[in-house]
Amino acid sequence: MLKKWKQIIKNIFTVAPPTMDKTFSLSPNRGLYNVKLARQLKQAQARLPVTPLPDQRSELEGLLKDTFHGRRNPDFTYRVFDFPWGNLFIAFYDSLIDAKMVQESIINPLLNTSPVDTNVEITDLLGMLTDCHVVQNVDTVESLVQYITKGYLFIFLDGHSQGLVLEVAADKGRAVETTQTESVVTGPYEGFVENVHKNLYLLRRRLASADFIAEKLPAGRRERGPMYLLYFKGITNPKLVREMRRRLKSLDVDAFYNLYRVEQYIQDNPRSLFSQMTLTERPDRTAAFLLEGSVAVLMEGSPLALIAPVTFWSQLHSPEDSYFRWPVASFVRIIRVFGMIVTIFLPGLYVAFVNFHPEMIPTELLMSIASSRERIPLPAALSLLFLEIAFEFIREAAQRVPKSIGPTIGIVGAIIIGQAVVEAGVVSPLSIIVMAMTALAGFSLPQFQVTYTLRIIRLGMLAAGSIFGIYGILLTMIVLICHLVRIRSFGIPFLSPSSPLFAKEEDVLWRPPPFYDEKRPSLLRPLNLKNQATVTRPWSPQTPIELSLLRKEQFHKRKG
Amino acid sequence: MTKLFKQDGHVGVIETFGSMVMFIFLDIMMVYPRSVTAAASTAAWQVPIVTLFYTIPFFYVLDRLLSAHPGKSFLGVVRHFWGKGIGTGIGLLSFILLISFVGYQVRVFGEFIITTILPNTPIAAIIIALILVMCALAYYGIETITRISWNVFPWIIVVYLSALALVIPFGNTYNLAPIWGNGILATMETGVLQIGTYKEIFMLGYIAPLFRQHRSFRQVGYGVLLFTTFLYVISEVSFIMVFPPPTSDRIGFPLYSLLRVISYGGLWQRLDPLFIFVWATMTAIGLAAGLYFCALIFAQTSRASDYRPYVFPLAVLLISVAFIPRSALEAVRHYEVISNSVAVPFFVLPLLLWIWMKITALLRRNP
Repeated sequence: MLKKWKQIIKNIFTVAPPTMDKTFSLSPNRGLYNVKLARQLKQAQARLPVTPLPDQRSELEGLLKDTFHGRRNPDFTYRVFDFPWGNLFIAFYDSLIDAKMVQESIINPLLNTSPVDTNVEITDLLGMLTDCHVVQNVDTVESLVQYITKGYLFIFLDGHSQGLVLEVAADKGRAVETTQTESVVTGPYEGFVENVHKNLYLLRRRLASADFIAEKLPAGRRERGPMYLLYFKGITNPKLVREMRRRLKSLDVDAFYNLYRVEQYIQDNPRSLFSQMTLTERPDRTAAFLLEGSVAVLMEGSPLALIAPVTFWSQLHSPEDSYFRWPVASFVRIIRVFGMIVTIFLPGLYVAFVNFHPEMIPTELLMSIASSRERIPLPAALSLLFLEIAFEFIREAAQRVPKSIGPTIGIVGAIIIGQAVVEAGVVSPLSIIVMAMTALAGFSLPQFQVTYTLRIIRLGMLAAGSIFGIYGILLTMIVLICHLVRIRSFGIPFLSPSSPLFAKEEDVLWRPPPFYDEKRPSLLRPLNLKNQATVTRPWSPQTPIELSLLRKEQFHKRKG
Repeated sequence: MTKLFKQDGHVGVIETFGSMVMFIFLDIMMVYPRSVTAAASTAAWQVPIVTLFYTIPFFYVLDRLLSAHPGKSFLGVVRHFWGKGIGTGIGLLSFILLISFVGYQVRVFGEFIITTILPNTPIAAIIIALILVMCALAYYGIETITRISWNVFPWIIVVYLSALALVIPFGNTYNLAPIWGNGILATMETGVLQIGTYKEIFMLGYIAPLFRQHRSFRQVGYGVLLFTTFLYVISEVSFIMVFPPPTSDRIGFPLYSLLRVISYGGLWQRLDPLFIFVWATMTAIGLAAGLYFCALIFAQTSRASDYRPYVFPLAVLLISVAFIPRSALEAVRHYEVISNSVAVPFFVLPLLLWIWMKITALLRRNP
């Protein structure tokens, strides 16, 4: 502990080596950085052991029995079929495959169409197994183990040093359902599920384009997954794709089960309170980000998409903003920003005004506050802290308890907080109003991760306001802004386009009318900046006819 | 020292503009309106314009000097012409002047907070809290300071201008008469004596290599001078309209007192805490810029490879300077003197250097 503190003090007086070469930036002025690390990764991958598949069935059987602990794992199944044309060996995890499908799609076709020729090659079986979707050749033990653990069935023909893997998965998981945390009134209701192929289906249906790429990547050392890196060729900046790929490939971790965990490994400032990526369970939102030039990651077992880079302001946007008419969307965005300010500052400001600056409160209100606080023994800061903790208890309890008794928690909470504490004289009714406003404002934000973060910041503001009044709040606010301007999301300053200023970015707080929103965000440096024609309403009387004429001339000029 | 050691290398024009306006404009919240009104009477609003007129040629000289030596800071140019020894001496002088000035600013600000919103809090607590925030900002460098400034600057300006607009109905235009105050010559003399009004603009010379192009340096410099003058003029006009001389001579914190007169029914009254919020935000960021420049000048003087190790020790030094005055009154009196006297070298040195550059160029052409 002492050593750690000594180091912290030492760090104040010493300087870290220049970090420019380690900082990722999308700026075309900056080249690739840290090439050494990329080279090391490639070398490490090249050094991975490769064991060729044995050509004798008995040898392979022994090998698989050892590898999969056949005796202690009754789940692991292997069978031998003695056909006239050769000995066929199959191996799989019983729990991961559909036995009926194995019978109908593999065993029956092989029994019914047995070739007369005795010199059958493993590739000849491909013609017989037409009912199976995924058929791959396998010639190393390592890849064989991976396939079996992922739920594939392995077929091996005695005397050949390669086999086939077939997809006969038992269960594709739950069906596509409505979203849990990002509900909208307008717009589609579909949400991602745990099965990554269904998620890809949801996206491909929206982005029907050959340029939409889904690169398969391993997830951790045990290659649980897979993960898919998604981007649009011709739109997304290749530098960004390369960087995301590099970060995902660098993950030298045993296994990943969730994208929330992956996010913490790959973001620029993992120690920050703020998440510098967006996790969404909405395919429409993911598609919108991809079309703007971001990259996304999907992962088997995680009903989410991880999107980067994002800005602070994009975390205040809701998928609904695209579906609302633009004045409504702009209005609700401003309401959300106001909600964010209220949820961060209101408790701190209340305490500051009541304790330090009562002169700022209008006289009538001041009298009302004073009379409501007359019987309360707790200071304003402690009252709010009490309410904050009670509120956190209710929230946590409501999440944990079975759904059938969920409403009970709400009723108990309402009685305790709304009535009993006031009657008992623990807090004043005004404190409850302040806390209720704060909580409601917090929940008005579309990203629930942001709500959690702001809750912690709110406690800091409350502490600062109760020690130094508004002076403390403003100093804490400066520190908060200082932190926000320093963090980046994949090289993009988190507070951009407001700071640093990108004046041409319009879709920040104000939602421009869709027919004017003709450019993708230049922050992401997309390869193709325009997402629609300049004149999208040529039939409108408000569109000057000259524009259509100019457009025609441009078209003819291009055609030569 | 030609290169500054910062992570990303460049500063934005608009962001630097915001932070420099905040750094310069701190004075208006302190004692400037009172001292100028006392000296120039009803013509006090003309004083910033007079000061601007002779600040511009000096800034032009600095601009020419640095454009002739791209990639060099002001101290780099001094070393180039006058050698290392004189360069170090000038660097030390600039550093001592700046740290004294910023130290007094910290003290006056602390006194203001005690007077207005936290009367029972010890001044040490207020100053130390402020210094810690300044340290954090200065440590992260000019890029962070400018970006923070730009986040709050537009709101600050909107609130400030709205507050002044709300004050105007409580003033009287007749208070601005006689329009030439104590006379044109007296006004011009006051303008010359208020040499410290825009002295902070010369700090740009120390970060000149951080601009992408020299044109950006010029844009920021002239833009800041013009915009700050506008703010000074409208602040002075509002102040004189509400508190005509000689009443204004006896007001401790002029702009704070000015905004206290706002009263539009039950709700729109006593907006001064809101103003303090805005002003204190501006001051904290402006003072952080001051601490940053102190550390940077010291690093350039000592030819260190980084300014960051100096931030914390200099913050301690700043606290020591802040506690030199024994009372609030003494702090305010000394501040008025220091603010103008420390400015002289910042004006004179670039001019001398420019003349030297011209003479040596002439001699080289006609040996």
